Amino acid sequence: MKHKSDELSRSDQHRKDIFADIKKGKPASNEAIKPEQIEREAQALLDNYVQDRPFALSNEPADELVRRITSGVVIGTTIERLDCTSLLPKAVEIFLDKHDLPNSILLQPSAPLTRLSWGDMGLLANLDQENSVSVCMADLGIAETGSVIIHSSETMPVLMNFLSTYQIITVRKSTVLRHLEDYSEIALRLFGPNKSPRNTTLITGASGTTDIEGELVQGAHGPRHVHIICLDDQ
Amino acid sequence: MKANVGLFVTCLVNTLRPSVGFAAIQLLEDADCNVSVPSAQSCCGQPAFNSGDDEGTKAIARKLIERFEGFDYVVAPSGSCAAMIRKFDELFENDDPFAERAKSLAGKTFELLSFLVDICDYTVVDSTLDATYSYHHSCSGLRELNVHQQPMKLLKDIKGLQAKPLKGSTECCGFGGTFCVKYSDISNEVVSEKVDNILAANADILLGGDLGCLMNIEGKMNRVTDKEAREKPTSVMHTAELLADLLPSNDS
Amino acid sequence: MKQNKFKRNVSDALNNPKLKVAIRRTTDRADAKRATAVKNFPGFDRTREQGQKIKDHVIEYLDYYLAEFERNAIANGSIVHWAKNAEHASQIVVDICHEQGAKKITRSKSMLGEEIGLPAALDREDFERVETDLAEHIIQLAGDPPSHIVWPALHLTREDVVDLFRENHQNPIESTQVVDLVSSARRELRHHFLSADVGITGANFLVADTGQVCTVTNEGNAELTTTPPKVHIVTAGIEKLVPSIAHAMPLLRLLVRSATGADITQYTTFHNGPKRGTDLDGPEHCHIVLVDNGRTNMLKDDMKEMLRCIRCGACMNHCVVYKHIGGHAYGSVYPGPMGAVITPNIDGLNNAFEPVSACTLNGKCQEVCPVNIPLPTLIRAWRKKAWEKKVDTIRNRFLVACFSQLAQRPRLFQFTTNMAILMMKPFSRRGWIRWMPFAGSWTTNRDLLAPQGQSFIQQYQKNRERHEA
Ligand code: SF4
Repeated sequence: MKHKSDELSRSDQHRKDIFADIKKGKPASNEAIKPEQIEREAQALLDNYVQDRPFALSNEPADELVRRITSGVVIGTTIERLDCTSLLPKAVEIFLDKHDLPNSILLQPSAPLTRLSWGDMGLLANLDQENSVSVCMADLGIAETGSVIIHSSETMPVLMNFLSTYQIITVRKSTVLRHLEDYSEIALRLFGPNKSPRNTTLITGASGTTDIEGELVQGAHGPRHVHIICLDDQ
Repeated sequence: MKANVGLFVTCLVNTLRPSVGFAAIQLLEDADCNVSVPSAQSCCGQPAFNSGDDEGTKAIARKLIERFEGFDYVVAPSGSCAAMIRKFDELFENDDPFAERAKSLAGKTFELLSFLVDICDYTVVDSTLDATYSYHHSCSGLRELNVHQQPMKLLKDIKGLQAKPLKGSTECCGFGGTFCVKYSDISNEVVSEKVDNILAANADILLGGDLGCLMNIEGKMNRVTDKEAREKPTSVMHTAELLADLLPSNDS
Repeated sequence: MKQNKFKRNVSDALNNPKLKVAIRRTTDRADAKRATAVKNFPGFDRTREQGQKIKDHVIEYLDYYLAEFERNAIANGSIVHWAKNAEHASQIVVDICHEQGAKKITRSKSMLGEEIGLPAALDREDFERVETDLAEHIIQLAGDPPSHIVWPALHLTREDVVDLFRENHQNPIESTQVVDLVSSARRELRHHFLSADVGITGANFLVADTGQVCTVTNEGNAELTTTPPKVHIVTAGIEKLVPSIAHAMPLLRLLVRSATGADITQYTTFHNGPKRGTDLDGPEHCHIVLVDNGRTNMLKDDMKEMLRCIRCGACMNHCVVYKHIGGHAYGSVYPGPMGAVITPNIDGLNNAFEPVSACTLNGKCQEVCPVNIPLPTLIRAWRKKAWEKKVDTIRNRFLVACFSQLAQRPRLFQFTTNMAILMMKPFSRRGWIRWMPFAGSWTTNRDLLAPQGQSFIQQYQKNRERHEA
């Protein structure tokens, strides 16, 4: 315990030194600048460049998400559209069949998924075996990059995104945002100022690596294949 | 009123390839400029500046400013030397009277080919040459002065002259002034690759706008083809030399 | 001493034909992919300007944003530590690991970790350190330092990796296919991820208004490093701040396109503190170590622009020197153009002068830098300091000084030129010089252009006299 407080006071000293050195590096006039002005400047850095974001071919964000993924730019990812959530178990079954996978999945413990009727599909307790499949719901989608966003929560363990070999992710059409920046407004609405979930992951494709001779290989540590199911919820 | 142009010859042209200097004069005169060559000129100071010797560079700069500031324009057949002269103002403190003078000189200093196109609206008329060429875009001209389209524009108007694409045409040739002697072995690797690419492009002529790079490239090409006991398939020329050669006055 | 070492490294590198092949297999691919990505993004140039301005803004108000980040990180349950230098930063991490009684430590690639010597510090204390980024895993097996900031194992070929995995993996494979090698690493590393006591990452961005720590990976190893262990430790440079998550987005667009040519990495994750009460997984403790290690000197030293660096590696992929000598020759954590600017600041100019000097100042690095860092200007600024401090050899400085003296005396300069031309004459054969005294460093590798008779000025004057006569 003593050791710990030593460390903290040492760290405090270093903190002081760092702040002092930063001050030394700038003109004294900077001192007078108010936080509001800094915030204003920061905001302008976003506002002035809105038109320069990558543009979309489709006007509808969900269409763009689908288009991007079907065009193949998102690594190891396929996508399909479903009109209604109740069709999900069937869609999952078809996916498993198509990839010659055993008829069992790990399901995210979240009500919209667990209350569906999964018939005789086996429900796994973990993702230990090879070729395991996980099924979860994304909180949001991003058209610009073909990404989905998943927040950690009491119904979403982070590791679910990383341990399976195949990952099926549903995303509701109405939650697909146009650009990456659009997320910040939604996050503010969802969590309030200065708050965020412990873990926010933007997933854009299957786990991959180019570490050996720059050659792309899917399934480095996480999923080898990601399947997105875009649910029409309107 | 003809513009008065002071030609800054550059030390490499002065020492090794005066023909580039004469070509520059011909082209400038053809573009209706009044060309003068102050005989008391030396170097733009790059070797000192790039070695960090600012005091030495300043002394060189002062001399150059005094000698050349009276002209309407200062033109050099080299992107890197023109770029160096444009940087002189960075050297002087604000209260140094030379700061203003350096700035005003910078404003009227140009690389030859871009000067011809951008300032003189010079165009090539009635020239024909049945040949192919590749272009090496020297780094300083390209990145510091944005010399890229201008030579292309001039060459495009020569009938019969065909461009052959050169892989890595905007990549450094490994010259780098003092670099090529200080790190001779690295420089050698870089220029070897450049020469491989040029030989693969297999054009009749390699053109460029900076003698430093050209003599590095040609010197290597010479050594390589000599070793393989074969003819040099591509000849190396400063773009100004080619353009001047095609002037009607040089029809021989 | 150090200077000879650089020369030795360079000659070793140049004499290693395998190395060049290895470097090129990755850099050529990366360059081409980057070029396509930039072409496909019409807003790239404007975004580059935006990225530059965001970084400049943060650097301008660094203390404000640091304090804001600290406040929000603490509010989310993280413990924030400060380290002025590398040694202290590593020590903080080592102490935390000891306190937690850690045995196995997983680490997700972080150049800052390398900068502060963290791998070595952990090894000295006998922790079991497991590098989880595939490339870091490979070089850990090889016992090599990283040779590139994005592809640390770029100096090794697939054949090298085959040998390393056969020797070291628990269930070695026969195949030499890259895809099978990756599977082998996946099997090898999976159980380490799940059994580690501490997970250490760096940060690509620190989000001031939420306290989030952003990591980007394609493999997913960062999340596998931060989630299962009891403790997550972040080590990050103090320049990594962005005002808000929205500000991170344009920088991500630039970073990923410049590094790998993709639009975004597969996993872009914002971590924030320890597991919340109802979370289903996550670490119990989260420590963030904010490291200065020379960064505040850059603020003072006219090297401010370098703090914009987002570590994309484009400058080295496109550097003609790096492409021929590789990362190890530099003898420092950060190679290539960005390394030439950063390293003197960390190791001292005396020890890091050679990379500063071994540069043609061709400007390609600045052209491809996604935050427009004037790398050649900064490299030249170090040379200026080196000149003032007399760092280079007496011989080199003497030559430059002689040149300066001559060049400021135009008439003497012309005279010397004429003398040189006369001296060169006897060595000229058909317009070329194969060898001559004092020109060895040129003529060992290439021929020297022989003068065309007299100097231009001499010829010009003669012509005029003839004209006037
Ligand atoms: S200096 Fe620029 S190009 Fe080099 S790593 Fe940093 S951000 Fe990338």
